[in-house]
Amino acid sequence: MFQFDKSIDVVFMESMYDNDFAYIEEIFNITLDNYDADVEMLSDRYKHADLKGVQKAIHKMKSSFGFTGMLELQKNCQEAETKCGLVSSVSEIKNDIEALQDQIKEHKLILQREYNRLKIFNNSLT
Amino acid sequence: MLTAVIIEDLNVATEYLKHCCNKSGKIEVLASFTTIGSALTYLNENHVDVVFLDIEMQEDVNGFDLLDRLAYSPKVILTTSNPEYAYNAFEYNVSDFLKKPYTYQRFLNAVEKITTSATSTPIKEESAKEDDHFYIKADGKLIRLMNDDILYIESMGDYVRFVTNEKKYISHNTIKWLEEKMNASIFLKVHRSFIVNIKKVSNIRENTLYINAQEIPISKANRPEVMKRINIL
Repeated sequence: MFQFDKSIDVVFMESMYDNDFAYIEEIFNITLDNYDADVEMLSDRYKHADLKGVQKAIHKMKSSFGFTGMLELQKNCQEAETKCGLVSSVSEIKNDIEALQDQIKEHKLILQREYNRLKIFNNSLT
Repeated sequence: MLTAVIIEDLNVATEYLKHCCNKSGKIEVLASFTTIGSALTYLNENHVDVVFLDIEMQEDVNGFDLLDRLAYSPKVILTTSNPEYAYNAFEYNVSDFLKKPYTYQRFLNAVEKITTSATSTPIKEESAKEDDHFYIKADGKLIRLMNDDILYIESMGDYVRFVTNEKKYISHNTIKWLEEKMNASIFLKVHRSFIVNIKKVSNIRENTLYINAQEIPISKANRPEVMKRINIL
């Protein structure tokens, strides 16, 4: 049985993918393919103080963290998305957004590592 | 098997949904779209049974705008990560609401709802074809039109004009869609831009027919069917 990193919710992954690790590898791969573009979109909108745009970028990324079992990060995204709706400018939630951006970058490394491990694990089965 | 399209701007969500559809063996995904505009163009040209619709996209328009502008009413399953849209979902009479990420079992429950209701739809449509009236969306309301009152229907791009003796009504619809849905014993497509009430045709001269004083072209492709349908003694 494959052991996920602690930042990935194992119970949730089992309920979603029924231990189909080949398919989970595919899901991680698709997520990684789009990761940098989504990070860039968030960063660009933040730089331009586009509050609505930041909120939408976080909303989009939030769902992808859900599909990869990173539920804690998904929850943090939800909180940031909600805060975007409560303020009138990006500067009011500067610390929250920057902290979230750091977390998102850290999680890319975790996802990449887990993807590589999954590939090795799945190859060993064939 | 039901046909469907997916409207979603998150690739992983689209792929997961396609995977669920394939696994179920109940839904064939014909196409997927990342923008409302491209989906709307496709849907107004192609009839599908089910639309899986993400509400909050990166565009300024959202999924509900698509439902407002769609010329017909397929079954709709909303896919979103924000439950706050549940009330609107209820107002738009959507079949189900999948909160992302959802399990395969939850997906199956949603499909079960639409397959149960879809089996009764053809009967309803058949009886609607036989009715002496139908409803159109125009001027922000549903308006009842009697078959006998319609003279002809003319295409205006994404809209059509229903012409009666009394009034003209503009509605978001297509000739292709109406041709499939209207009572074929009364209404006949004579040109890609015209459907006529066959009982209202006063005379035909070569490739033109006349309803009151209105000239309506008959296309080469539709002419044989027109000639077959009129009583020539």
